Amino acid sequence: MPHEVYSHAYSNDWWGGDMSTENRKIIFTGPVGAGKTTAIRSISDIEIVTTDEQASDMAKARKPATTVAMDYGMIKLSENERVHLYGTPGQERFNFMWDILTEGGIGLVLLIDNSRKDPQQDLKFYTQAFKKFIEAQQLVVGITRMDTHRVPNVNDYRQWLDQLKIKAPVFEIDARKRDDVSLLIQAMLMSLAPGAEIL
Amino acid sequence: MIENSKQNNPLNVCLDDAGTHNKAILDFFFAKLGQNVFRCVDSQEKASVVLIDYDFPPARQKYEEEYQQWGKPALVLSISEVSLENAIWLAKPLTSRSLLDAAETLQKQLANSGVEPNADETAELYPPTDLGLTESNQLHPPVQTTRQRPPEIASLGAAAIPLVKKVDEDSPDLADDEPLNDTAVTVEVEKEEDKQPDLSTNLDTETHENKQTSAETKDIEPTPEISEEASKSINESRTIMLCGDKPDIAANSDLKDFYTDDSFFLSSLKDAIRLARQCQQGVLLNFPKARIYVLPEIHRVFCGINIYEDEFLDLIKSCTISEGGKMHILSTQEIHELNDMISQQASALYDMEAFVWTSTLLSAQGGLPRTLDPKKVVGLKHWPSLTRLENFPHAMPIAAQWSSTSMNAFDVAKSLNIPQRYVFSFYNATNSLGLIEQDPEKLITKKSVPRSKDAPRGLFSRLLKRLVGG
Ligand SMILES: Nc1nc2c(ncn2[C@@H]2O[C@H](COP(=O)(O)OP(=O)(O)OP(=O)(O)O)[C@@H](O)[C@H]2O)c(=O)[nH]1
Ligand SMILES: [Mg+2]
Repeated sequence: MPHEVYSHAYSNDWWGGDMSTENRKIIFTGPVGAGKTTAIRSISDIEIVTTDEQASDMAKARKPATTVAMDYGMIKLSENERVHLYGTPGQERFNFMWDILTEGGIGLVLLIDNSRKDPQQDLKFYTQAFKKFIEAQQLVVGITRMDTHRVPNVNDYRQWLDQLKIKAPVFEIDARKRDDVSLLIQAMLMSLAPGAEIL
Repeated sequence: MIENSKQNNPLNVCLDDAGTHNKAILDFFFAKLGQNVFRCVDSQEKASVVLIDYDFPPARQKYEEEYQQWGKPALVLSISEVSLENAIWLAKPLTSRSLLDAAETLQKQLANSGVEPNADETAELYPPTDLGLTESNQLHPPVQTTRQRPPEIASLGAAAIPLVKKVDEDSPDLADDEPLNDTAVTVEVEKEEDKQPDLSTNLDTETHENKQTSAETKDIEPTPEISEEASKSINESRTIMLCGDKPDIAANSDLKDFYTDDSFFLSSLKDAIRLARQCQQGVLLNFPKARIYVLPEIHRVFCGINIYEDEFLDLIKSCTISEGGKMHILSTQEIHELNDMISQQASALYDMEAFVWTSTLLSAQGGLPRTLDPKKVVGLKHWPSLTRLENFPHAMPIAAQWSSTSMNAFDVAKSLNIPQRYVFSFYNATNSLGLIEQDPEKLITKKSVPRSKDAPRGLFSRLLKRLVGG
């Protein structure tokens, strides 16, 4: 598609204005409440743009706000170089966006909430949903809420990934901690380019 | 829906008045599914259809005062129904289907009025795809697009950790030599009164872990009390404690004198963990200087000595077979005692992998046990969970390298151009966690070809620098 330079002050935050920015996306996905919005906020250089809603249909849900369309954050490497961070909505009724979202992505950060009823099923569901993208790019898995829910443990996730024949780093993380989210992304980058130097 | 056979020109739209988050959604949509249906132009004047976010007051104002007079058809995005002349309302959140349907209607309108949506181009329409578009153009609950600042993280109380199964108060105490039975362990962690109101109080263990895992970050951003130099030298001496300071050895040299055996402490700890796992019960490992509780069900170890302080190294070095190392399954009495201890000192509760990792490193200090041959090609089955393990130089690059290609330890050091002691330390510590596969044939390999060649390494390196540097 033709890329235009938008005139709005914030518009560059969205797309960067040139073709070369397209493959500089990191996608965050995972079930409702896994910490996607929080993780992006932890690491973004800009105030994140989110579409959280305090909707009535979520009254029953376990959290006051849920993302209905997507989250957006950004890491500014320089004036011209940005890495865009996109979060999918956790609710599965928005699956239709995933295809569009992953186009040109560097890799996928899958966050799994360890306190949910069946985290193994969540892992299965999301790795299946993003199967093609994971095969072509790099998956990293962050297990959240292990501070309150110790079971299952990281090793259980390693076994489950083995069963799915997927090789990916699995880290216990707290989405509220920048260092945790940062290490997860570092693992993604280093997996994509082992031996990459830190310039 | 738009039919496959139809040949239509894309509709020119300008996203300046679409609002930030709609713009992002539309960008995705235009990049793929809608690529032949819409085209972006840089001003509303050039657009064949005026697209605006009706819920964004400045956009709405511009529409009412200016664009409406132009007589162009409009696509009006709003959370609630809008009926305007010559305008199509699109409910938010936007859906692919509603966009395609609207485009079709507009194409027809423009064709009827004799206006070419885009005169200079003939493009084939994107064929209908089955992306599981379940959304209809219905009204959705209000959506607030908010631009948020990273909030101050609220104070969190220590979580009650469901340690192990419920204790059976009536069950007889287990003597050291009694056979294993089903008596389970319960330990409730009470909220500590004097916790600092910050995130790390969630579990005090994390205070230590953070100090360690962000060692590299600390180099760049020292805490206010410690000078940059002081913190650097603390990190350096800790690194030597963990990985030693031995120089590299030639790959063809005699390794006879090179190996170091597991310390008595480490081998006892491994035995205790094995026992605890086998019977899925808490095990107490007794040393004169410390009592170590291995709690398999919650994957934790309780140890009164701070493993990130020098005292723990002293403990490891001082343990001998003549002094302790006995272990037994926790009795109910001991479980109660442990309960009390944890409630008073939650920081003494460590993640089991983090405990084994640091214990292994401190035991070997850059050496290798006889069982690990640095010349043997092995693979890394799984990455260690580096967010919760004590950091040492190059741990992450070693993990990435070894996980992508089976190699021997010497070659890993060579390929990354780093001192061998860090690779040996990694090899030893990951092996203690059961993450090394001695038979590389058994490893899962990624289906797709390695992308290291086409990976934008420059970008990755710059991004890594940012992430490491904070
Ligand atoms: N205790 C704990 N809370 C966490 C952790 N990670 C995230 N949270 C909290 O979990 C809540 C939900 O996080 P969000 O970032 O909104 O989750 P999300 O994945 O964006 O959720 P949806 O948008 O509904 O899909 C927030 O209050 C976070 O602070 C964690 O590791 N431990
Ligand atoms: Mg969210």
